[in-house]
Amino acid sequence: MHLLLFTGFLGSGKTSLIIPLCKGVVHLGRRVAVIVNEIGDIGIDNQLMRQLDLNVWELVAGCICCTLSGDLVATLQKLDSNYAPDLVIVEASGAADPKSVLAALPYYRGQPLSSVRTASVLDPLRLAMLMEVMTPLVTSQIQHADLIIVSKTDLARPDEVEFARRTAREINPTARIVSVVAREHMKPELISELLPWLN
Amino acid sequence: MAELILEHYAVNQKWSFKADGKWETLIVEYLEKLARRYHETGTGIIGHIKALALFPDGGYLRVSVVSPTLPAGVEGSVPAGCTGLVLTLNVIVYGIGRDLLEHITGEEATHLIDRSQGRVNIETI
Repeated sequence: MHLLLFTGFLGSGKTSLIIPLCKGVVHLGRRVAVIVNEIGDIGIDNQLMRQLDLNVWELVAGCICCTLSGDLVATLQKLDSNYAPDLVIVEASGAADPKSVLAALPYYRGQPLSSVRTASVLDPLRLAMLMEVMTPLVTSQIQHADLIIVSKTDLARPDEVEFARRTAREINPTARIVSVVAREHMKPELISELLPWLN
Repeated sequence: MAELILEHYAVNQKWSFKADGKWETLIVEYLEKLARRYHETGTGIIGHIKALALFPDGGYLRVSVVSPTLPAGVEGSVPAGCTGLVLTLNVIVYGIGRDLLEHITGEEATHLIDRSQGRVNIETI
């Protein structure tokens, strides 16, 4: 079971990337499960994914980087025992610090995870503002990524995209950085970047 | 800057429309207005205002707003001839109290009914 953690601030475009990614991986004949962690009393993303016939487990009313970290581990163990997917995608809430989410994974006691990869989604339209008011959170979301996806590049100005790429590079010099447009179909190249084990 | 406290508010609403509704326009208008009203409180920042509209005959609309100055993102499509929907709204902000979020959200639903001259009916469920 491979694990792909999606992180990124609220509204950065995580769900819009995860849905076509799931469809693409299912199309390749692999079993995929999604664990959605959403802030709020009612989940929206999990309802949408169910509407699209995706295999979804939800963790609501808290954040997996703190109050729900135990629930994340328990859900992973249930998935391993009952469904044995090839891939588990964890969509962290936009307020989650990936450092704490990753720190919970050693408590998982199922079959060893074949790989753990983290993708961070950056919204270039709001990054400058967020770097001023949410510095520690956004910095951590960039810092702990293996792959940084600059989203909505068709909606942003070139200087906003450039700022996002430069900021990402300064904070995380080793991560790969890719750019995508809003609501773009998942390209095979991006699937390969996210899931190199599929190659 | 003072620490920004994360706050959230969620509600389910049943919308009905006398005649074939311009659902996408109405929902986008509602969420964008909410973003401006929350911003006008002057105390916080918008994290994510998102809504999922499910139509009784199938189909959905997901509408997402992240700023008072940026247009809403919309995914999905509205089936032809639909006169009702169930909308789940989830508001996640920093620095605005839940009571105020609830008040503004309800008030703007009422204003939307007024602006449409009663063609839209919104009921909290």
